[in-house]
Amino acid sequence: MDPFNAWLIVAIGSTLMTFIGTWIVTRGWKE
Amino acid sequence: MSSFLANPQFLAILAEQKYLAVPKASTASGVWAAIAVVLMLLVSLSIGIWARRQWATFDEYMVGHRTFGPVATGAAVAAAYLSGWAYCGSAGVVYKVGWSGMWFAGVFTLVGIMPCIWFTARKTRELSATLGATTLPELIGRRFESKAVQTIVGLSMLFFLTLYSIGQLKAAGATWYVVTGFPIWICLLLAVFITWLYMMLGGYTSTQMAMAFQGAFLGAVGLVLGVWAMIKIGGPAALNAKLAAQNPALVKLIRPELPHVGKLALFSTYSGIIAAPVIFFTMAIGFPHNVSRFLGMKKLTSRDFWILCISAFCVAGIPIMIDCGWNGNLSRALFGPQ
Repeated sequence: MDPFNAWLIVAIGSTLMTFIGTWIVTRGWKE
Repeated sequence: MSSFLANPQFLAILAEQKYLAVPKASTASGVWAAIAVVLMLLVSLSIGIWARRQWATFDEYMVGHRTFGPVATGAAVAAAYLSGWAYCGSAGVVYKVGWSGMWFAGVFTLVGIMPCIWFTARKTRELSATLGATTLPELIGRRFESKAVQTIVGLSMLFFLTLYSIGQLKAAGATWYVVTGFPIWICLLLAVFITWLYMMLGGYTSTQMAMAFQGAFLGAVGLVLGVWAMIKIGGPAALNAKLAAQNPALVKLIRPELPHVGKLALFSTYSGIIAAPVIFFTMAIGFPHNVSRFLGMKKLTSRDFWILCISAFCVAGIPIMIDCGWNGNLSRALFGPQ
């Protein structure tokens, strides 16, 4: 695999992880 | 790899590989570096003077009024997390071994910092406010109603953070060495002195705000430097062609030809590469210097929590992935092997 593409996959994957994880953590929070 | 070797552009680059001259330390570079540090300290000092007006009691000195917003807290926790490794060591490893170095160099940065925020931010803030704790050892001691636990946590932090700070001071000293050319021991003393001065500027409030400023600044530097260098070199394909021309192993994602034991296992074996995100996850989740950033935070709504996560992401996310993944390779391609 082209190494830049591997970097890109990790970058996109980490970004998705950040947003999905934050959504899961804040789901159902009582304010 | 074969696509590189079949590419006429690559062969042309290979034929006329030229490197930029590595800048040498000079009086001018030392003076400019000193001016930049003085400016940073002046900003920190201004924040310190401003913060001095914000506290009247020792508790306020320690955690302010627990009113820090999510943007400042997110940038401060990212700055706390980013170490000398993130800005110096990681690029050096990638420079040395090529793309395979990125796995350990910090491409998994978010695997460390985000779980730290998810699991510890809200609870640390709520518990410390409820229990009236101003430091992490105090928080844990009061939570478990045990002075012994508090003492053990305090001593553990003192011991491990002393070891940890050696790496940071070494990175700061090495940076001074590169820009001034002074003897290394003078550079180390300079690093210790500046760190001491910075810490003396005044309490949690100023530290939190100064760190938020630094985080935002470092994030911008990592991003701008990486993108600018990538454009200068002609994009990822040109970068890979230049690296492969120096040594085809530099564009490999794993280096099985390197020894499979010791530090090099992180680049030469699959178990080493898989270990990297596990290391980032386990170390960053409980870093006391990360978690303590949440002590003075205001009570968060879910919207605030989103802002906190996005703020940390903007500093310790893509900019650091660029810094750790690209910058060492770009330096190697531009300056050649040293």
